[in-house]
Amino acid sequence: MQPEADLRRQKRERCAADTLTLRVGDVGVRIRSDDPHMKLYVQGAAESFLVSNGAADVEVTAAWGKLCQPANTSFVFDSGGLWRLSRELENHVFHLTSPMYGTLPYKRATFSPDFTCGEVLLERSYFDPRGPVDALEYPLDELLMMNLLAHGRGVEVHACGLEDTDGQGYLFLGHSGAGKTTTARLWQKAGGVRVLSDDRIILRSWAGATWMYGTPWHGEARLALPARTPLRQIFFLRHGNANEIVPLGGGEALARFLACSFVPFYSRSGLDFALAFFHQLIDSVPCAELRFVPEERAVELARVYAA
Amino acid sequence: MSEKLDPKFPLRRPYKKPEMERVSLRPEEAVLGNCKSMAAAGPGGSSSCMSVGPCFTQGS
Repeated sequence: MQPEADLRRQKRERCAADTLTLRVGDVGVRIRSDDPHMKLYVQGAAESFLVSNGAADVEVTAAWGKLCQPANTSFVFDSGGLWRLSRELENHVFHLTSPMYGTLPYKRATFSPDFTCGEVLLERSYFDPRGPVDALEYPLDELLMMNLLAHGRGVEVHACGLEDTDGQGYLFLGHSGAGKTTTARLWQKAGGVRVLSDDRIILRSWAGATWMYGTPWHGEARLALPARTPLRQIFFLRHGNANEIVPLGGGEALARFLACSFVPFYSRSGLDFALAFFHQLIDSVPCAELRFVPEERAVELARVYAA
Repeated sequence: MSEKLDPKFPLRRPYKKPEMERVSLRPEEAVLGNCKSMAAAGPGGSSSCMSVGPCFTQGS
């Protein structure tokens, strides 16, 4: 029997290409390698978000580069973990590091001011020279999407989103451990439900409605659907001793939205947009806190409340 | 005597003292600064994440 790593590499090589287009939240991102020695692939749930044609909102090129420590750079933002952001002229530059390799970046991604054009440089010595590379690998793919959304397109939230049997969408927000994956599994058990994601949902407003989109950045249950559905009810999750729903006022709902969203905290215009987006959303879709115990009655309670 | 309401001054809602509620923010999750899963972030994918600390502090 072949080792798992070999099987993974063979699969990657089968899917490898010079150009790939991902479509997440109705935003198309095309990545291209101009280097004949660099093939591209995407891994995990992102494979389901690949499209074979269609327009791209964003064009990104990938290439090998010799990366070094950013010298004399004052960073706009430091995540405290995998990435830091600096500015060069008007461009945004992400420096990605891994604890595995110390402080030398393994990837450097430069984007135009509106994030519609970019270049990713990868430090060759860190990558397997025999195989293709996932140039937009997490967290770069999600950072790019977060910033694209902040330019007037929508907001990504930390939530489970699902479509009920009647086609209406339920959004369940919460930090890690709040019960998003548990909720997804409970509703799946109830039958006839499509879970768009058990961890990350993109929200966008158009045609007089707010739409929820599945994303590749799933949670423990690995639920990630390239699909959308109109949003009907918003719940903020909390584990409780009994199933109970408490309506939320606008101010409280807004604060909780902000605490459960992925927004560019370093961008004033991005934050302004997110706040205005949430404000409008809270005015148009009912918000409540769902205190629940992990049992099917929680599903029924939510359905009755939303009806 | 029954009081008549002046339409210029509609009935006021009773005063309710403002309350401060603390909403917790988890910066390590909000800024996408950590590995989201065991198989993410960095060359080598899962293999690199298996051997380093911060990847176990998942930001999901």
